[in-house]
Amino acid sequence: MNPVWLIAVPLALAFISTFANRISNWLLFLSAIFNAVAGIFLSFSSGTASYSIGGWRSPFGIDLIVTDATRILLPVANILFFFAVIIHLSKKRALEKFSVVYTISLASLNGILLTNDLFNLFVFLEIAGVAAYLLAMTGKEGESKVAAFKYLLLGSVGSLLYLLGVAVLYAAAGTLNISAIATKVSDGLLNGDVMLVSSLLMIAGLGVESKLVPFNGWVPGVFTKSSNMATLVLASVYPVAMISTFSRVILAVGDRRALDLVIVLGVATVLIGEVIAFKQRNLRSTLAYSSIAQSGLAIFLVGIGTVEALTASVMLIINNALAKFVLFSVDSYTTEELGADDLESLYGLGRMAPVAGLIFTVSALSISGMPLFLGFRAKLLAISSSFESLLVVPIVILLAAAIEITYYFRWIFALYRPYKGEERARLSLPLELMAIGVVLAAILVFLGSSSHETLMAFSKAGNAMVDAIITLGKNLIGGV
Amino acid sequence: MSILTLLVASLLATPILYLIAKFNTKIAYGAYAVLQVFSFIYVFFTGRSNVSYEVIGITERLNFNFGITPTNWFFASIVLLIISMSAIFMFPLKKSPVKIFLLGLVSAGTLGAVFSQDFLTLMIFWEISTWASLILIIQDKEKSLKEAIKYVAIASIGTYSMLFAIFYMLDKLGSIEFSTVAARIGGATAEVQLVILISLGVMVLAKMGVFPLHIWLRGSHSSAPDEFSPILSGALTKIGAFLLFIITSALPSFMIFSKLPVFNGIPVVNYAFALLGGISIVVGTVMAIRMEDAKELIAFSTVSNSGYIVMALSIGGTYATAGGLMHVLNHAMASAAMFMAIAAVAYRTGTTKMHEMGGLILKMPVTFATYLVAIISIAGIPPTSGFVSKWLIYQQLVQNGLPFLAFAAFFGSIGSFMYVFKPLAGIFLGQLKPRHRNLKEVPFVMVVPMTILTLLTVFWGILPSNAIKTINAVTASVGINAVEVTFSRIVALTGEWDSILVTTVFAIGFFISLFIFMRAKKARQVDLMDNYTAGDFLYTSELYHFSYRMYRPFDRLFEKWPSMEDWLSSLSDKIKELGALLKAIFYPANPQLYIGLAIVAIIGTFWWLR
Repeated sequence: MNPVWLIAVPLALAFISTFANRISNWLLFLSAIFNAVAGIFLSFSSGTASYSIGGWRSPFGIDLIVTDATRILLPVANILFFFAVIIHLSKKRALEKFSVVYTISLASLNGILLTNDLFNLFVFLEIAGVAAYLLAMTGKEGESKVAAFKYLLLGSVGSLLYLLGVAVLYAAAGTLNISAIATKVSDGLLNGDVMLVSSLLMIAGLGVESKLVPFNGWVPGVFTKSSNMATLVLASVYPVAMISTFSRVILAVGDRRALDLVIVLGVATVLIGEVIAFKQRNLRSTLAYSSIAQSGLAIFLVGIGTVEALTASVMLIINNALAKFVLFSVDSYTTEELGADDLESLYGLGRMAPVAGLIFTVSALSISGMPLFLGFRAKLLAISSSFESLLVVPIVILLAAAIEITYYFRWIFALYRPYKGEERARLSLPLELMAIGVVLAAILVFLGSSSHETLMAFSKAGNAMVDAIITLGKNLIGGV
Repeated sequence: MSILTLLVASLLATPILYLIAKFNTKIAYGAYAVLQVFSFIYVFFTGRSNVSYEVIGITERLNFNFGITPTNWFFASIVLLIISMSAIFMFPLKKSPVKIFLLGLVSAGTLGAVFSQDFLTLMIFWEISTWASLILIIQDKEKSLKEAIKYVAIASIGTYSMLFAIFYMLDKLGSIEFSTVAARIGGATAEVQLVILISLGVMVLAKMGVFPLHIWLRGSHSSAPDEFSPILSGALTKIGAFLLFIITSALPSFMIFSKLPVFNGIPVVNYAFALLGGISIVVGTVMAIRMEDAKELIAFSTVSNSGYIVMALSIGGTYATAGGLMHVLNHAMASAAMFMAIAAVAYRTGTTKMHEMGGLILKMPVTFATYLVAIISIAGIPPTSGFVSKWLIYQQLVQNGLPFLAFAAFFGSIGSFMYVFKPLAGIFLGQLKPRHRNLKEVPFVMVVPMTILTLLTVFWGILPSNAIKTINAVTASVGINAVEVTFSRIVALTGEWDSILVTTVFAIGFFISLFIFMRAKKARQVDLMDNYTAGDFLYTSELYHFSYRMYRPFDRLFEKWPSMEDWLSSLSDKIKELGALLKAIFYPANPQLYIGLAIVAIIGTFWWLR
């Protein structure tokens, strides 16, 4: 099956929705289901496959690339998007005006994950960015529009910087195909300074969406102020695409010296994110800064660049996506029911809504990296590979991890705090949220406690991240 | 059936117990108790076979390694003894499905940890039981949240220090199994050795509650559910002792650091650890004397005794190692017994504040006897087992010529008379409060484990050679000399003593006093108002049982002592301030500043990387 359907179907349905407003919700649902199922089919095969678009052979035309890494990340992104749609579908009023935007964002995210062409990537980044700006302003308060505007400014500057980087690289390499450029880079055919400049510009551009310091100023405002479904999609689905693409592109066409910068920025992001998260008083902001830190964790591993590091990076991306989905869902649910989500309002939630408390605890423990959960396996590999660089790196990461555990446990304790006052009424989660939350939590536990063989898929993904693009490029150049 | 099966069964039993507890908590708790007792009996009687297993992978290069060396068996038996006794004890106390689930995880994690043969396995299972115990601590009492956060912070310092050590070890030495590391670490550079051992040492200090990482103990042990405190203090801290034993004796740190400066026959690094242990003894003792709540007091007693264990195992040598291991056993039993006695009292009276009780000796004699024997053991008085371990440690201190540490050890012993007496006098002796007039002894289910621990403490006090022989087997497996024992006689450097003889002398003394007591005239019980007043009139009955701030003069001596608990909260404040600063720099309100930062970053790094 040609993966271009994953992009084409949502895009087509989105265009239809603009004319047929009344059925736009159903078209969104349809595209989400189609993409989820198609994504699962994609994961059944293995190896690296490349598909040309429009009949133009690469490296002259645009092609889509499906590696072992894509086979994990794409289904996860699409399925999580589908889950988000299911959970929020019943609240028709909220979705109505924006279902077109969601459909377009789904198409663009798939495009980002699949494309093997730099300019095509720029196009999809712009589309995803515009969709994200619109999603960011869905919040009820006026501040959400301000946050979205800031996101718009920073995002536009970021994509322009990326475009400049692409232009510089195109001028030097003569092609826009990532695999072809990767081959040229590894053969040493491109000028070092040119490579460095283009890498820095591309890091800046991609770093905006990947929440890298100092490009991530938009994150706290957007994550705390936008509507529930928007936050869910922006916090758990977008990072899967963005961070993995960052890794893919920088590893393929980036200058080796730029990888040092990636390590520095990644570690700085982790530390800054965790320290600021520690001081937050309400759950939404804590999760926003924690998301920043998790992105930093996944990205600094890219700078290290070994297969083990990239395996850890893929695992961290997946862990973050699954766990943040649950955490943000529980948080938005409690905000709706209880009105606020600061520490005092959440006291005893674990007893009022036991299932919510359980899935929250499992996800929080997974993000902080406790054994029995996927996050622990990921962190273990991450720390193990961080020893490849300076000793300062693991020390800072571990310090940040200690801070992270402390503030996550603060929230877990608040949930299970014994009662002092009168019994509060039992809250019941909506059925979809409960079912999806339990499934995701179960996956986190299963992956965390299963044997090594189950995680072979992640190792293959890590391998693919490092090698597949260049290998494809070598085959291409050889063929042409 | 092997240890692995037992481990898997414990892990799988946990969700099953949760589901059973949803229907009937009694059955679930009963099943849990049976499982723990069975585990203990199985391990105790079939262990020591020196089998080892290598299991399913954690990552590509690392596997779980389990084994049953004598060391594993020794620590496993102690830990399982405490857990099984507590499991029986907790039956009448407040039950809930969440608690039994977490207890199941704690015991499964502990089981995995004590049977580990490499550092990562140890760490993983230890972490499982740590996070489960964290959530368990906050189950009952309101004030437990703030205290538990301190435990989180310090436990995470320890864990990440150990994680660092593990991967550093893997990087430099190529393996993390105990035996392989022991073989290779001798050949590494001094810097590598120091880094590994100090990072592991931080974990030991954090988990055992030794100065300067002792500040979490007071809050966590005292605010934990009453049935869980014995496990926390008697079992979980002993896993730290397991790690310490591996570091100091199995690796062993003496040979490794023999190139470094040596202080009185002990390498400097070991001496530093022993010093921390000594300071811990003094701090724990002094703070315990000042406490008003019985559980906080016993928590500080744990700090003090963990200091003994760290000091003894760090100094090394035949007698200190044997004494340290014996102290692990003694303190586990005595601490668990003390916490159980306090839990029993709290079960009946509803409080653990000592000045709210009194005179309970008449109403709860078995609890009193348990507590009495436990404190005699902590104070190190024959014929209880506590005397043996302390005697052995003193022997080594005297031989090595370590005056400060010897002073600390003696101070700890004498000071412990003071603080263990406080709950005794406050809770059991003195006047019975009117509202406690109808109290009964605790149910039989709670009496049994207390009695078992008491009898074991006395048994090993009368016949310590039984325990010492086992400990000799453990130390022999790591190459340390054995303590010479015969049936009842222990031989050491400054002399020998015969335990049967000592017990006989005590018994004779006891019977003489008993005889005098019985032959003398019975005291006449009078009402409080029936008193000599020299012409004045009595209208109200006075309180003659002074148990509030019993040691006020001593308290005043140490009033201005700086509290270490503050440093953790001020650290947390500093991190929050740093967070505010970082937020102001990197997340300003104006988007122009973001863009400015981005451009500066790009230009700056180009200049750097070019």
